[in-house]
Amino acid sequence: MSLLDAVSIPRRTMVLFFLVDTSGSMNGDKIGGVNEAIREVIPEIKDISSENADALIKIAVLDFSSGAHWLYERPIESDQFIWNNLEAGGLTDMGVAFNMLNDKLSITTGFMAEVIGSYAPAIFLMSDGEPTDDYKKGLDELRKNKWFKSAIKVAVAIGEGANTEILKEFTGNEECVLTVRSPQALRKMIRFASVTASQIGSKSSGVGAGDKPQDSNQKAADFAGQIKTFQQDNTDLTDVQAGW
Amino acid sequence: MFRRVGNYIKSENMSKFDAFNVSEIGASHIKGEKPCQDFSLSSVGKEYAVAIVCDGHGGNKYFRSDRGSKIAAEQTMEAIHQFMKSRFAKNQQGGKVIDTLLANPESFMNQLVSNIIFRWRECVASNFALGKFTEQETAKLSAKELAAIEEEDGWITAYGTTLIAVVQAKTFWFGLQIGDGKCVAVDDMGRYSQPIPWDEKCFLNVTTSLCDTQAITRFRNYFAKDKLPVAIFVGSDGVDDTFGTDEALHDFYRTVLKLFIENGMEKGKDELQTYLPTLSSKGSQDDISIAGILMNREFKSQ
Repeated sequence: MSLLDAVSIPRRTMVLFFLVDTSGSMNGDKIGGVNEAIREVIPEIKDISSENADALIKIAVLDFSSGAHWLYERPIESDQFIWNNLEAGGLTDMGVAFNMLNDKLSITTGFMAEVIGSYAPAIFLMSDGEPTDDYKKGLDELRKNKWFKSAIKVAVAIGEGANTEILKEFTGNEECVLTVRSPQALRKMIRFASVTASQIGSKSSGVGAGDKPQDSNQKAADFAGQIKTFQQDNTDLTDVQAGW
Repeated sequence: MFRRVGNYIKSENMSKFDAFNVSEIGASHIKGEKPCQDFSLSSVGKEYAVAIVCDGHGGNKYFRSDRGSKIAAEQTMEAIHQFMKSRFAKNQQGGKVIDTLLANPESFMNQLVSNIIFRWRECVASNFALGKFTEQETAKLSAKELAAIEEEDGWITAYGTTLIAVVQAKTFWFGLQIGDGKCVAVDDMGRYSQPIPWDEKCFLNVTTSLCDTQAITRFRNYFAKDKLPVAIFVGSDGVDDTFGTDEALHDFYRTVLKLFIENGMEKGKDELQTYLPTLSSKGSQDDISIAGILMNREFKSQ
């Protein structure tokens, strides 16, 4: 018997979470821009996944307004993922969304059961406003979650009305909160953050980066570094005169 | 060696046990020009067998973890031999130590763990005394990390490693573990389990370590004197990270056990060693160590 023939080595998995604010204030250009940008970026994520020997990328989407709900019951492989347009309306129950994310970032009760041994997830939050519920309690619990702590986290503040302080609390890093003020900037930011988080999050680390015990933190730091460079190179995207 | 008897494979080795160990540098370590930081050992005698794997940490501040893992494996083996030799000595009540051990295994496991930690710390201290850290070794450390290793006993971090050791005797078996990696036991019904409790502090790439200040509190163990396993495997996290789920990991060990049954210990071990570079490059990319103990008894070939 040859082990080469007998052993099947599974690919590791990284889940890319999109948390999308679909409250009433997102109606119009904002939700339109989010829908368009995510639909456009999915083929790129699919390419990263298919060309990546290290890990398969799966996608999970949670939208929140008056309550929150998962677009699919399980993370979906990027090559099978179909984006259904989100519609905006209702309140901004960000705390509910944090609680639901916390539940799913678990091996016993959530999405991580099928991805034990996977890479830490990448979590992408988009919001244009203030939470209308008790976000603090949900976020405090979420921040205790080990998967969350290890995750690459990025937040996009859509327009001037977004509470960037809360988004900073979410990411734990000011540099990972990106403010956009136009549909064009929103699309560009979503594309860049999704692609970069997928590329960094799904790669096996080189030993030079420290594969234990700081590997995940290193990935988050690498991501923050890329975000910073991107912002320096694209100052037009944060132009206050641009739109929202 | 084994021979096929009807539907059964029977050992031709007169000892009750067989044991093996294999280690291989990880694909990412080759790429990063880092040494193999895993180390494994095994030992087999008439009365008991031992299998040990140690996985030195890979981060920059663990720059002597290859030495730390080798010292851990060697000192654990010595401590276990000493422990096992003492089991037939008389206890304070005039009975045998083995009887006290079987009556109160937890107390003995704690003694063994203390001895292992003491030996490891003594040996790494000797190693450190022989050669202080060079500028080349500390070149990649941040100012904070550099300050930390210069504190009293801070240097020990450089040698950080995990440890899993299993011992199978004729009437009992036990396992000890600190840090990640997995111990998988196979019973005579072909059921696979992981008897050593998991430590929730080991998560993704974070692990507990022999270099922890309170290492003694982070050791887990398992002791059993009935229903002895037919095979026990211990593997560094380079193995379980490759397979992800427990089910896939158990399938892998099922294949390895079949390999040993069909090919015998030496040939099986050679085949496994030859396969490890593939396992690392297609899987975790990490260093990989596997050690195991097989009971020389009739294995049902199916």
